[in-house]
Amino acid sequence: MRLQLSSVGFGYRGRTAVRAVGFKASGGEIIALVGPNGAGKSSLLRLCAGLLDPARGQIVLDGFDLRELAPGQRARRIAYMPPDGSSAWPMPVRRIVALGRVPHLKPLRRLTAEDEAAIDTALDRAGIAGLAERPFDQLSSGERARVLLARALATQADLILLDEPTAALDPRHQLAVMDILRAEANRGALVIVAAHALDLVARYADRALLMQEGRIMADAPPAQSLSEAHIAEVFGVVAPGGITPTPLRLTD
Amino acid sequence: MKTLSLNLLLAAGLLASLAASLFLGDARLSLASLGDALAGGEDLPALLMRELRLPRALLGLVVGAGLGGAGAVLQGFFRNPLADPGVIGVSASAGLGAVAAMYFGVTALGVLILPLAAVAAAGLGVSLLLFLAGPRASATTLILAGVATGSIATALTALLMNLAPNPWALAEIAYWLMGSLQDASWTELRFATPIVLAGLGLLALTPRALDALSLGEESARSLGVDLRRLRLIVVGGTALAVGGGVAVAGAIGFVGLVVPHLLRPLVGHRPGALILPSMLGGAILIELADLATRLVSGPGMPLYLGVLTALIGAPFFLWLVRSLPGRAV
Repeated sequence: MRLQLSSVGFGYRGRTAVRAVGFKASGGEIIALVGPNGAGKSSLLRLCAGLLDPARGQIVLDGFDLRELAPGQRARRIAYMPPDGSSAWPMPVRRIVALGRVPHLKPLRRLTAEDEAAIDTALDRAGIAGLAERPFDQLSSGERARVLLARALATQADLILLDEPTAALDPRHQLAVMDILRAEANRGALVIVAAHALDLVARYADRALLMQEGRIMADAPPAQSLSEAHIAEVFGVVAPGGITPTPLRLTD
Repeated sequence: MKTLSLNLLLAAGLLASLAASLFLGDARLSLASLGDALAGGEDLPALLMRELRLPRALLGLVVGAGLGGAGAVLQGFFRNPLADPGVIGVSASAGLGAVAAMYFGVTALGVLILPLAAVAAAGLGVSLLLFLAGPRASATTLILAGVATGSIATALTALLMNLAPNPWALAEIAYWLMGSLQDASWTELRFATPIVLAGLGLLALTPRALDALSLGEESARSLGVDLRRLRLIVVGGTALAVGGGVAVAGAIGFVGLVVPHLLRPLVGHRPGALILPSMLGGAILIELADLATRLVSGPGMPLYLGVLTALIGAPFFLWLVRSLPGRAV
């Protein structure tokens, strides 16, 4: 699986959100999008998801321009988890995770054994198999985040895009989510994740794309792109010696 | 409960309420009279059954299924339990279309003119609502946009009544607007049924998209849902399912609000799985409510079906608004 962006630009009503962004990535990697609020991380994720069409440039997935893929085809290959996700109705957890299989369903057919297996696997990997029958509105925010993550995993896409999946999670859940993403990448998926927790990025990401005002300022392993000089320039904060990976580990 | 067993249970309930509606009333009819009626018998019970009870009961089924199904789909589409064809002004729009057809006397041109006018006006009403509220409407915005849509339709209907050429025309429109099945005949049934069925057929295409939409518009699109297509289907399907019913029975409110809300927990809150049960439940509610109006109506003093459903539905609506998180009242 290869993703290639070449001089991609996008704006909302005259305000430019993404300027001349280009990078290549392939399956097995975790790429972190890092930058201050409004730097264009969310827009870039939506562009990669095919939810926005680039005004300039091109996004190519395995040789196909993203705009040429039919919606169903795109949905089977790309999973997208929006920020602040929720469910309008208090459906049981398993039903919500099952929505990740919508792109695979034939019209008017029920879930196949393969779909059920994918749902079970996603529930297991997200560590919420025990919550399968609980209504969504009775879950804590950490549990909800993992349900929505499991929904994205259930699609079994080879490009997984996540917009701040660890926001508002306690340290334990943050690590759990990042471990899940690491496992997905190890299975061959390309994971692109927007995140503010720099020490998590330093620990888990293979590359950190540092964004400022819609541009990519640095594209390198976190040790280089999250250097003291870059952090000072982009965020206006001092990180003596650069960002060190989080030392936290899950207890057994 | 499994959705299938719920649907079977509701189907059985519908048969029972249909039977009650056929055999009970001022004159109690027997099963034999139904057989006679179907065999073309000419005695009084057979005639009563064939010309009054049967078309009325079947029309109630069609109208109720349309209202219940449209309510379930609208609630799923707007992600809001307050969306109901009556509350958000769709029924009032359909009513305006029908009244306009009556007022301008074009109904004489063909039996389909009135229902088509109702359907077209209902479609305009839903479109106006979507324009005013936007697809991401909060409960408050949706209700306000619905009030605005309904008010415009009601005001124009009032204008037509104001300008009505004679008191008989005025009375005809006024009674018709109260909502009733008392004029049901095979003619009405023949033109309303295909329209409502076409609408329900369109709405039956939406379950998977509505389920995906539970997670928000972006998630739904990322799952391959074509929102523009969904919007067209919802507008067209609602207009046909509601407009076809309003054209023959007038405005019968709150069925599309109450029925999906009561059934939702029984299908695990899945908006897509709620549509079929809501059709069945809407039909049951109309059958029973219509039977109730017939049983309590005195000679020459009919209680209108729309009045009864409003008397039940309005307090329910109030209770629902108060029970919502971040309530508006």
